[in-house]
Amino acid sequence: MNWMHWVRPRLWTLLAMGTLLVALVFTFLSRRAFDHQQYLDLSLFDGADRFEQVLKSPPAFAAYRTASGAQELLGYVAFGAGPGYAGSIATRTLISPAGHIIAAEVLEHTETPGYIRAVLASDFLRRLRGKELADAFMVGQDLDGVTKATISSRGIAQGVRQASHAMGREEFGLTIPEPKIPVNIGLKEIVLTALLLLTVIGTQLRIPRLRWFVQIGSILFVGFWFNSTISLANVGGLLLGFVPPWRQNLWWYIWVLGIPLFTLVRGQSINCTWLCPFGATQELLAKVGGGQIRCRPEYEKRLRRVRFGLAWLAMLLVFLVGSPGVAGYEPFGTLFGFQGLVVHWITLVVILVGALFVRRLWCSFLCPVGVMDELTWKLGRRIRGLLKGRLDGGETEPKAGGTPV
Amino acid sequence: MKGSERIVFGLVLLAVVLILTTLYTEVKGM
Repeated sequence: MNWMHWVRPRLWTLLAMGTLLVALVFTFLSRRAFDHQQYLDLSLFDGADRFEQVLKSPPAFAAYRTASGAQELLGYVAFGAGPGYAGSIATRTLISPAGHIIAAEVLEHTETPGYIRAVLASDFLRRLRGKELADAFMVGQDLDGVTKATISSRGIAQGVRQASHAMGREEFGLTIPEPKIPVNIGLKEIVLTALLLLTVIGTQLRIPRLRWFVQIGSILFVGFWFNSTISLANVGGLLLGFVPPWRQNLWWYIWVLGIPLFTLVRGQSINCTWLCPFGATQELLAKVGGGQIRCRPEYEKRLRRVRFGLAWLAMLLVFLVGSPGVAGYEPFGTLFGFQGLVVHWITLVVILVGALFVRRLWCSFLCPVGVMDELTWKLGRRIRGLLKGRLDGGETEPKAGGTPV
Repeated sequence: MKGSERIVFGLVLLAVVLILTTLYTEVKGM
């Protein structure tokens, strides 16, 4: 039968896509709203025996002690949420009857776990204690963010600000103006735009020498300075519908949306070979170690399928757990952000030592972002081929291969 | 299989084991 001829060579791809689609649908159907009730605990306030809701949105409650007959206000508990790097972060803020922050906590998140670990390991949450409800709670103004986890710190601050300002206005009668969130155009946005423009010029005008310049810039800035390598967490977050507010995350729109969009429109890979700082690091290591160890093409072709298996498993986990950060197994954050568990560090050492002898070990056999990149440029070429075929009035087969320039 | 191919296979296998351990650790820690 004709359709069997079409299905057979694509069986694994169809199965992989089908299972991911089912998992994605399952995630959306089973998605539950944040349930603050489970985090309302009387033991939060010493001697409290009753909560009374004082705000609906964001939810906030007053805690009372009524055992002695008289009603004594012990404090407030208010919930909030803010966007992180790859997902949302839910917070709980305890407020004293006088209107000071007693404590702030992270309750749930779909953020990249490494960044949350970095924030929790710092004294960021402790620095929120004692602040007043009308304070700005803005990283860079009255709060210092956590180095290499600035976006997560900003998300937590936003959750606390949301709760505090709502309580200040509604319960304490304070006049708190809406915070003016400036459009963030800083060094990060400028450098990322410059690197992207240089890449577009280099690939479109075919100037391969620019590639080394971009790669060095990428290692220094995208890697070590900003720690903003595109990761599976970004892709997973996007597929789960996470889009950060643009004013403070302009870089995200330039980088995480701009690169795949260019790849799709031009049918050409630019992330892996030009802009990825981890790929560039491996290329430098191969210059040092020779990078001469390789497989015969038939073995290499088979081994390269490992990337697809890992990317499929990771995406499946992202969808089933509903958290994009959980499956980001890339060692990018460990190298550039100096964050990670023991297993992350061991993986990084294995990959970097391996990359001395096997050229781009990670990219060739393991990188899930490479898989996404390949699927995107292939889709782009197919669309271009179809459009060209339609314009020419005939079928045009897209050109195979993934040459960067 | 040549010696160089064994090295590549070994490195990839080791990395896959570490990646699976990472995924297990992160999901378990949720």
